[in-house]
Amino acid sequence: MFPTTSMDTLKIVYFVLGLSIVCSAFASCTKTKPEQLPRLGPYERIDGEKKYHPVRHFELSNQNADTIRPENLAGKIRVADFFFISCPNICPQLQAEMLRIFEVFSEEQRVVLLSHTIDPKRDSVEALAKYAYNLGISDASRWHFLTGNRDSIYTLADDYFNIAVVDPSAEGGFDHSARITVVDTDGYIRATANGLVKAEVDDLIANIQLLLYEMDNNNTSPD
Amino acid sequence: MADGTGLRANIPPLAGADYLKKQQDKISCIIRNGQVGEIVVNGITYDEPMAGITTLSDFQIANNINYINHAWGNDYGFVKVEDIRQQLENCK
Repeated sequence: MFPTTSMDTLKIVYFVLGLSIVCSAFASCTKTKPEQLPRLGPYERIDGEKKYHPVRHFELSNQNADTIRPENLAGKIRVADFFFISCPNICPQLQAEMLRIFEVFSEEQRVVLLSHTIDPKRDSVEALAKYAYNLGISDASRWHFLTGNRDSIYTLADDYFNIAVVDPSAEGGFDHSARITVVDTDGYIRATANGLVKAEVDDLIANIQLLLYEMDNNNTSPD
Repeated sequence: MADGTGLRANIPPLAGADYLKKQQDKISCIIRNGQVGEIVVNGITYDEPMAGITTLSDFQIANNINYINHAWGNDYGFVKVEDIRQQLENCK
């Protein structure tokens, strides 16, 4: 379930802000937990408890030709999307929304962006390096533009709630969704948005802030 | 992006773009066949490829051009489907 309309998210943010003010005056309420984002995606019931699937392990190259695995992103919230450089329709707008998220969290080292190309044949490390440079991204450790084995990327896309398929009849040769997905430090999906809908991305930004609050307060994520 | 400003140095703007204003006869071919190589817009050189959108009809391309010619404060005139057909013949 995904409970967050913009109003709901605003309420939560105000609630959290209010709590921090009240709690600075009364030490007794430090144990109060704010509302938490649920884990999302497929799950199995084991002994009556929901067991969610984390995003699988991966090994891809970024724009600096560094190999990036989940281990390199330890302790960071991942904001992921799937695109390709020559994409004529939805990617430009999707990447503009990713850029907006990047700018909101430009000073927050615990948030990292991952843009995976679904056209690794053309989008080489060099092509991605140029693309990142053109976008003004000088520090690859803040926003990785990832390429690698096509099948691995397409399977990974499934985990991130994205669909990527080669389709010669589609504009640019690929069909794909424009979903932006937020993964917590344990590898579980906690929020997602349609990257073409500004209001959904606004909610996503608020949800990333909630996750940071959760990290600040050492709250364990929900099972 | 949706405001016609492009995407930094990767995608040139359409809003207030001198290229759009001066190279009207090239726009239809770019929409259908894409764009590869350097393109200079408002004094800035862009060199990222864009795929064409082959599914658009001549009529739809004309409508698109008439839209971008008048969106975001642009005032670059109207095109006719016949003109667009001619241009698309020439860039085959």
